[in-house]
Amino acid sequence: MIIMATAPSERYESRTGRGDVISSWGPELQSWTAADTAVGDVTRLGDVTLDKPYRYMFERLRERTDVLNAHILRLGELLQKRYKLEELVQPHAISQEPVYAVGRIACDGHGRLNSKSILLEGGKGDYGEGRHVELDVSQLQNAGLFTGQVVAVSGVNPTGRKFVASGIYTAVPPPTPEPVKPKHELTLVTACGPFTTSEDLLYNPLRDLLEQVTRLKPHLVLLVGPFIDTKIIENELAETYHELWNRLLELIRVAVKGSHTRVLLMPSTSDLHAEPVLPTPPFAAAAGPFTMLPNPCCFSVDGLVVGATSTDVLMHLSQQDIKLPGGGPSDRLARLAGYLIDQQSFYPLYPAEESVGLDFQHWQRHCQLPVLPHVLVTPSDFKGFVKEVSGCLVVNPSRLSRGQVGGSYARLHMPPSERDLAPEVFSAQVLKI
Amino acid sequence: MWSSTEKPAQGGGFMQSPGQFGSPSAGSTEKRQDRIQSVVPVAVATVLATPQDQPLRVSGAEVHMAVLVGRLETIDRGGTKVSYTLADETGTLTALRWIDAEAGPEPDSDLAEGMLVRMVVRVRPGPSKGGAGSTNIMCFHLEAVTPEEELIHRLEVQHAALTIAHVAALSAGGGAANGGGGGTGLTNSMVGGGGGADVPMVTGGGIVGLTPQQQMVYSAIHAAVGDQGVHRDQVYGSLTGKVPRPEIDRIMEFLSNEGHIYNTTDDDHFKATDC
Repeated sequence: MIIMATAPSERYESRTGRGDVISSWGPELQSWTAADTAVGDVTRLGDVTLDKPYRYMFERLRERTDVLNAHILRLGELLQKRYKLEELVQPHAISQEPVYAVGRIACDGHGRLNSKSILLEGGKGDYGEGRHVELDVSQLQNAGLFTGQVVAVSGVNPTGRKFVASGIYTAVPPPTPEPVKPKHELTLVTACGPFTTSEDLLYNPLRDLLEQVTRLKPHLVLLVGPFIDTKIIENELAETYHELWNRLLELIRVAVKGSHTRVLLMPSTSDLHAEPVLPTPPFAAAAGPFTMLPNPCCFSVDGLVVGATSTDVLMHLSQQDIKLPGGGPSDRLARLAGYLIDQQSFYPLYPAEESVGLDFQHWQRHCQLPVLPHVLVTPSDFKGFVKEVSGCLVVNPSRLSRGQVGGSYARLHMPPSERDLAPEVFSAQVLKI
Repeated sequence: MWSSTEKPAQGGGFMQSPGQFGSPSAGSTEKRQDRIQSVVPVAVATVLATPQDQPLRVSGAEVHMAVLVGRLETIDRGGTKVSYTLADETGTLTALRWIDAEAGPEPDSDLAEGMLVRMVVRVRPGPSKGGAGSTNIMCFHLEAVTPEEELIHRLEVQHAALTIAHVAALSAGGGAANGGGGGTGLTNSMVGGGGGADVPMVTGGGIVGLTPQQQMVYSAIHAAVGDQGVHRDQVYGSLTGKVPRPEIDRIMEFLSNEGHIYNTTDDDHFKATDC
């Protein structure tokens, strides 16, 4: 027993369907036990990496507007280049002839975005003054919109107050990574917290997961916070959060002892022993097979590029997303994940969801996708899934525990291959703990 | 409120027998929709403009119950009935209420001439019996309102007319899977101002494209408050007789795969994503 003497959650212990596959992808594997070959180092991608805690809540409004503005201008330029748009005008400029304009989608009031409440906020620069106009989307079909999204629109603005859009351009995926031909296989197990049930602090789901890890010896284990969740800590702890954290590290250390398994740990903003700000700086380094990652993070191992975040950005996006009618049935979760890729950001939503403390200057530096990852790990309250979105394999392992019952985790296999790495070569599963 | 007073006040004379309302002149066999239940805010002028032998119509749709708001000019109490003169800025009309001794205290006991009131009335077509068209307007309920409410009523009158026209256009197009407009006539929540709290916005989220059954299950889950969401059994309970259980299970599976709902504390508790 590591901590408080509480009885284990009966509902977790008596769960059924252990190991049931919730979602799978790619060719079926005979065995998930990894070959005994060590893999290369974990390299973090991006021009700058977030390595240590920073001072947050010291942001000036002016700096924040500069960041938001620069974001519109940067994506606007990319949109213009990608879709070969003619000269851009200010969204609020009066025009009877069709023109192109770039801006950020915003909502004209509180609450949910709907098709009558859309504003387009222009950037402050060559082609805007930071003013907003109403955006009429009644002529558009089959487009997904959310607040914070930077889009280019074509259309007219006869009165200067309402931009009537006839076309919309939303996608500027990041550059693809260098093509690689994997020389050896690589397996990855990933799970997202909470790692214990809401009734106790015994971390039985984590222990069960580590049992699997000991058995399968994956090359990489990516554990995404919250580890010590603000929500479930109601018990009085007899030790500090850091002591509890050290015990958890010891638990993991013992489980992977003597194997080649490398453990990647990513904090969450709801971790009690981490900084409650996005982007979240990594945990303090610890002895053992650990690599501490910030949240969010893009890293590569032997050419395989993985992007991961612990923030439930899919859920946050789903609360502010609308889909214009038309285009037949659509896969909503794939569309939500696609927003991350199309906007080159781990957190494209603005304003951020209430629970997320966003530091805009660091967001600009650390929450963008420098390249298109091969695999994007976006843990969410949504049911676990593996989907291909815009050439990227999106994995949602869901949460390892859900209230009083067990949740799910994901595993991924990359075989050695003569061909360039593409989503088709992977095998992946989301399964119940 | 008014529905409870409906029966005694009707005295049987308001049962919707087809012959009573049919257009007498043309003898056309225009098929009437059964039992339309709608309460629509209207202006006095609309009532006055209605021909004696025609039912009250708003944007072409028949209205059975109307909400009027105006200033109470006179109250004339008789032995068995009370007649009220109501004026808004579009006109003046007289409405009649039968006194029901068994119904408890009189609903207008706290009202006086000159007050702003809201009145739920029924406008009956056909030649008037008492002269001056007064008996055609039957009052079921009335209550005092504030000037702000009077203002809101004016907006509701406009909104109702536009909504009815919009719904009619949708169902004529045949494409409206949402909104519940398909053949069942107007629901109160759609016509009355400010309603629709339990019907998710048609424009909201990925709600576009759900079948009516899926919409019902989604609405049942969407209505839940609290972090835990709603238990599977509660959804069964609220849809008993409407959707079979295995179908509910299938729909919930579908909705959670589509990202409209998610599990909260365990596999049996669901919550809608956008609430």
